[in-house]
Amino acid sequence: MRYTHLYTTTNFTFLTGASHPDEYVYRAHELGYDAIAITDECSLAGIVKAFVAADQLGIKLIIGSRFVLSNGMQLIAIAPSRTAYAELSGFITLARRRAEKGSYEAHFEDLRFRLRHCFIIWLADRYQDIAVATATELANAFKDRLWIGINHQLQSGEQQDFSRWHQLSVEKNIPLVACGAALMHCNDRKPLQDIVTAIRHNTPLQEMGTRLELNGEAYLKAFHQLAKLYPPALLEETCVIADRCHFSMKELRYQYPQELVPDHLSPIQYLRQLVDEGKKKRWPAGVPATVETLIANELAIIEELNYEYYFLTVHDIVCFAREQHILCQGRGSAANSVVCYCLFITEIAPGQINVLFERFISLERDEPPDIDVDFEHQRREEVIQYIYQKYGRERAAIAATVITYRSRSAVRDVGKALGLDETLIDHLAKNIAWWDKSTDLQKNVASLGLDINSQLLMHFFSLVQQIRGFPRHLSQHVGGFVISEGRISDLVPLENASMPDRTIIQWDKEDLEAMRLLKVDVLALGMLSALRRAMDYITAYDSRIRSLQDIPKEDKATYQMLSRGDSVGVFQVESRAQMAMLPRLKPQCFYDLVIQIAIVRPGPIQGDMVHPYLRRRAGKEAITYPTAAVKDVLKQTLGIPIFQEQVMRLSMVAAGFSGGKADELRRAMANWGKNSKLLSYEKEFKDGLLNNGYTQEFADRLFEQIKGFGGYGFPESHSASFAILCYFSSWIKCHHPAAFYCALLNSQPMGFYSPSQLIQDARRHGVTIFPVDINQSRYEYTLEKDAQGKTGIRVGFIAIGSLNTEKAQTIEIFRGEQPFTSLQDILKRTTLNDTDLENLASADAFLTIVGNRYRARWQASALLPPSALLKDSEKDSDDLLMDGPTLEENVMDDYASIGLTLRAHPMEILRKEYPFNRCVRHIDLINLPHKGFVRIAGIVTGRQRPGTATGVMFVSLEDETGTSNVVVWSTTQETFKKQLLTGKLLIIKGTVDILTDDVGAPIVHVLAGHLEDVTDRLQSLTLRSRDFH
Amino acid sequence: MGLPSSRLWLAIRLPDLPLTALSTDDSETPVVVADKKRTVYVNPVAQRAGVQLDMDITTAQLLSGCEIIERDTAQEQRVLHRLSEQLYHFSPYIDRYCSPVSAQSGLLLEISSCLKLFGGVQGMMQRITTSLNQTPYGFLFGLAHSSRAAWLLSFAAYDIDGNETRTAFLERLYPLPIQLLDDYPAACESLSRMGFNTLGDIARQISHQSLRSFKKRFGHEFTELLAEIFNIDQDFAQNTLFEKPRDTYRPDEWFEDEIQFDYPITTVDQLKPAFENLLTALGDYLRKRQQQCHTIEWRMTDIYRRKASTTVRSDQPQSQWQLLYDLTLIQFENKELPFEVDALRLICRQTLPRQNANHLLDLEQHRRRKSTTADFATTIARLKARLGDAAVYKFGYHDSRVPELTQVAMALAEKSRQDLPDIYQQALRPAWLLDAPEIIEERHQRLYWHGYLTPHVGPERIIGDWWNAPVARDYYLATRQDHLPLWIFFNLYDKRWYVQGVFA
Repeated sequence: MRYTHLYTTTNFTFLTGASHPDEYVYRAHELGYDAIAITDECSLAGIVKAFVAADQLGIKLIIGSRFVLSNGMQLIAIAPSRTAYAELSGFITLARRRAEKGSYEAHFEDLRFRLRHCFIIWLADRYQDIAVATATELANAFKDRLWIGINHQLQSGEQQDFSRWHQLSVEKNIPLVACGAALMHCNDRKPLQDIVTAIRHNTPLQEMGTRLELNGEAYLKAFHQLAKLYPPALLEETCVIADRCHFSMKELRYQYPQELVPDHLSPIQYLRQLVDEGKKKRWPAGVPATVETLIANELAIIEELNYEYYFLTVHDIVCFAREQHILCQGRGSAANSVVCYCLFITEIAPGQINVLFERFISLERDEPPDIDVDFEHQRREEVIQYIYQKYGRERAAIAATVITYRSRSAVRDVGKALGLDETLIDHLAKNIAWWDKSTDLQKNVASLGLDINSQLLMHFFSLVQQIRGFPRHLSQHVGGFVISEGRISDLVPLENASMPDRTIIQWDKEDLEAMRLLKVDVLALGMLSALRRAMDYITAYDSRIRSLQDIPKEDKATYQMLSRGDSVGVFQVESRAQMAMLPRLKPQCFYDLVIQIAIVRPGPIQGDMVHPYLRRRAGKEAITYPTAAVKDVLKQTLGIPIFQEQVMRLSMVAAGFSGGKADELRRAMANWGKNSKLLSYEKEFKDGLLNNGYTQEFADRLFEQIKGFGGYGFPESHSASFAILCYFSSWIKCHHPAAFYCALLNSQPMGFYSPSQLIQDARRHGVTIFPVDINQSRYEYTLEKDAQGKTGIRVGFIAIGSLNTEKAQTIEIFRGEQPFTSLQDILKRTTLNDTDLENLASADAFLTIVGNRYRARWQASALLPPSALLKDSEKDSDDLLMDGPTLEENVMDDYASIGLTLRAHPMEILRKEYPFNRCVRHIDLINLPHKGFVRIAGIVTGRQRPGTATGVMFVSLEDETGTSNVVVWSTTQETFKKQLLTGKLLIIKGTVDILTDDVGAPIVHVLAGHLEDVTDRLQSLTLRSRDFH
Repeated sequence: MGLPSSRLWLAIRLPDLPLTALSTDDSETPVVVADKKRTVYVNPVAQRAGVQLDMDITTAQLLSGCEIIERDTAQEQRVLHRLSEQLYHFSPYIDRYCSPVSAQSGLLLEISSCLKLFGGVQGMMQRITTSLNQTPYGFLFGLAHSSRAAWLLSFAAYDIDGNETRTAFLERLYPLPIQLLDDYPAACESLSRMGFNTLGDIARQISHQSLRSFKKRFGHEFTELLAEIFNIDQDFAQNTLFEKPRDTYRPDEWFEDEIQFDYPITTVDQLKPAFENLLTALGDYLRKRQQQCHTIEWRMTDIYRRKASTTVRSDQPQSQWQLLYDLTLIQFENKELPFEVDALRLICRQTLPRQNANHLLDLEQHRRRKSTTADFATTIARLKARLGDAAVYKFGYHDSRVPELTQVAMALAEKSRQDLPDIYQQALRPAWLLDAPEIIEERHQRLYWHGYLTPHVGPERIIGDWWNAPVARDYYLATRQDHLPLWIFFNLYDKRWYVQGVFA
């Protein structure tokens, strides 16, 4: 018996299908089907996942889509050929673009002319009368491309209904075909299918009634079950359709835009020309021979794989950004390419790191390269608009990101659909920490005294588990652009994104990779915005520094600063973990920064590479290499593999792997723990080492390190790209702190630290901060000389979050050279209204012209429009009798209005009271005995939980003297979970750990033993804490 | 601060009303009352556990494990109404006050004109306290020159001695926080942001610059409130001359009438003229007020003042007396009088406004339908009167995949679902569903239920209710040997056959 399943709804028909696309394919293969069609509703979003599985299993995959037309008719369109596929994709695009995000609009009238090559299965609907005219029209339009799909699901009246359709089939000569709907790959997903239906209807199951499926028959059935449901001829007909389908997803190859190449040149000639021009600029004194060889090799591979257009397209985008003075820089594996360096896409020169082109492009792998380019985050939109403008919306679109269910959303939606108590759901959802395992949910429920063995809760746990990872909807990728020579909709359907005038394709990053489609990542990086601003500020007063290239290389003072762990705001090394590592590693040169960035990662930590490296660096451990070849690879990291590229190189030089094979190993490493094939390389890897004369012990140790490395290793090229920005930002912080902090503050949101924390750090570095002032401030933070002639920072109106941006920007224009003298004067000369004045008064911006903020608010609340002022009807006899605010009130108001204070730190105020007067200040921690008892208090400014196995959590606790690093071990986390999750002001008791040996500056940690949440003492202080994970 | 008003207001604030109105015992366990998922009342046990007002209920529950009760404002209003009735004999001027922001509410009594009757403030307060002590509600007093000032002073813990002067009232008001002016939240917030903390701060600012500076900032209404609180005559407005008239409380009105007999009545038949007489009077009463009623009470007494009551109810509200008369007779049918009746009283406590139905022009069909509806209502009322309320119910459709869950017995007055899902138009569904499926025997390898059955059409598979009582069945249309079509199913769990319904 032969059978092809033709009606499959995966979970990419969001909240309808209850199985992943690949689950259907695996099941179809198990059942021995000839082929399976994936037919999501007006979507091709799930087909790539199905294709990957089908390709692996060798089962035929048919591409189709189901539509509910505006007249209520349902049909499936199937693509038998490449042309039909383009038609189908275009039809979906049309239907989707007509409607709002998430919906579509398809009309009967569209079918005839839009689907000229697709097969149409008209789904027999038991609840609709058969319109003979419709049947005639369909039969005339589609002729031998039309079938009537019979969907038998053990429902009432199926037999009688079948005869009705059979009669029509005979009359109109339209063949019938078995077309049983599948909403899940096997019937034990029925509860989940009901749940997603209930979620879609936003109604508890108990009230869903007949909106739920009648039974669980919509699954892939075995042959004997099918034989009971359909006459043999109808089952045979499924294979007639399958046999006429010749389209394979493998045919989808697309071309990059070709208009960038001048007419008289071939793509490779043009690329070579650009590289030649670039290399002369990069090496004005002459290109080294090794580089020439690298360039020649790279260009040869690029030509062979036809990637010239890809490089030219990225080059064109980067050129545009440079012309517009938008800072940009390539990151990731592209830094391994000298061609990218010559095209000014990346900034890593071949000598700076050990470039490994195979990491970027490999002949064997035949996978598209991935060039990610960062742009200033505040100006990236200009680049995006350039791409749209240049290639048009038909040829350029952003990749999708599939938003999937995670623990918290799963708990909320499943709980609601099961009709659980809202308070319970809310409690459970709020108490799911990002680090929780799935079993923690049961513990959490049990801790509330509920019976976790109750039937409903058992269903709840199971369904939450099942729905995790299910797609919920499509969203916009952060910046992955697909640009094509022809229409993108011929390749993949487009649909509207939630952002106006933005379209996304229905495939995500993994789909594009699987389909080997090239994409350009136009990413946004806050630090680039900050660097550009900082350069603008510095150039204004120091003519020696006109661009980033003018920054002196390998500056000693900069490295000394970093060695002290003084890195707040510095790119990539500002986290608490990085700050704790800096004094240990004591970077002395650029390459140390490359290592510093890569080493504080879960991979090297779990692979036990950090301590051996530090010991070797400190000269406490001998640096040994088994062979010269290994030495060549690991020399720069003192014999310890730290980067992904080193593992690849080792596999090449020691185990005899080819470049492509080495990259496959890297990929397997990256997916370690997620059905990775890493272990399948173990034997080959170890055998290779043994064959090359290495010991078994070395082979075992190296492979263990690779496993530990897992998915958390950093590529050297990536680390190096970041290290450049790290060095630039460090140098600016060291030599031009005011410009550095001012640039960071104006580039928010970015980085780890809030404006309040940055300003406190700036003050600790001797930068004077001036308060926001109606007559001095501009829209942004600005540099201003203090009384000693040193450069300080004036807080700008941008800090007043509640102030309308456009209006805030106009204040300095209206002010001009003439300062405002009173609130009436402001009202008269600007477009500000009483609400704006109230906001400015709250920010204490009128201190110099009105007095304290109480008086300012009092005055601002009674201002009359300018016309009334002209009549001079309001006499100034309206003084406020109240005293000015106290320090505490001012501090609270500062935080409420601008999120920071230049007055006392809240802890300084609380310090006078019990129990804060018994807590040690951050600055005094260093004077305590190592391992001694300590009690500290502070505002939680950060919680970080690196993905290491130990489960340690770092909490940053800020007081008036600085920020303490608190280490919370997993057992303590468990006991004080609530305090950790919700506490804004904590008192922590524990022991102090002070490391003074072999470090650039003492490293002080507090190991937490007991946490007390005293947030209520902050009253209405609104400090925002940031969670990083 | 201007000319004094001669009025004197007593505020009675019921701080625990959100809870006590719900008649919940809260002494031992933490309890909070919540409105829109935020706490509006927190009992002392929950307070000790750290629960505060205006806290989200999840946090409250986490802190104290408290029981959360949804606020019932209608019930609170009923309590205030009852208390107003109770206090009516102390003063005819009673207002209710319910804070629009917090859950605070209470009564405001203007007592100046009633003081003499009760022997002054002290005497009156004593009697009011005694009266209120008989209720389960906690209360706090505030006495002042205006209703709002009295309300505010109910938050100040002062003993009232009856000799307070207006100056004393003002002095007591000054330390109170401005947050008590919570019915003007925007003004209150602004004032707080300008450094005003107490009512005294406001009073100082007013005495410095008059009310005008507040008026231009916070508007006329808020200034009026301040004037009322601080007893200020504004800008020659001569408030005292044109004082707002006091609202006179209107107590509940109900119908009550009695007939005293000239001789002892011993049978129901003898009562009938009296029934008719009193019900006619009730009909007049209702018609004049455009009211209707559901329930009446007959109260009989004998010469020894023994009493017996009978209540008569109608599902449909009645404005005419005839049906009530019929229902009364049904109620008394076959009953013996408990004693020799000396007097018969008819009481109708609750009435509701008459719903004026649209009347079409006199079409024959309409009149017939109308009369059918009326007959039906009468029949139902009679059935209920005879059998009791619980015995009369109707079937309604409940949307479910499980057949036996689709029919629910519901009260006649309840609205039943009218639209049946598509499946009822397309699928085989019997007109008569058995209360519960009945097991089909297997005799001689054939299905047997009061006769041999032959399945014809099917199966229709129904799987559902897995979250509660899982159901998995294959349904068939079967015919019994006497040609009765039945709806039967094979239970996939226990592997047995059942009959579920009978086709018409």
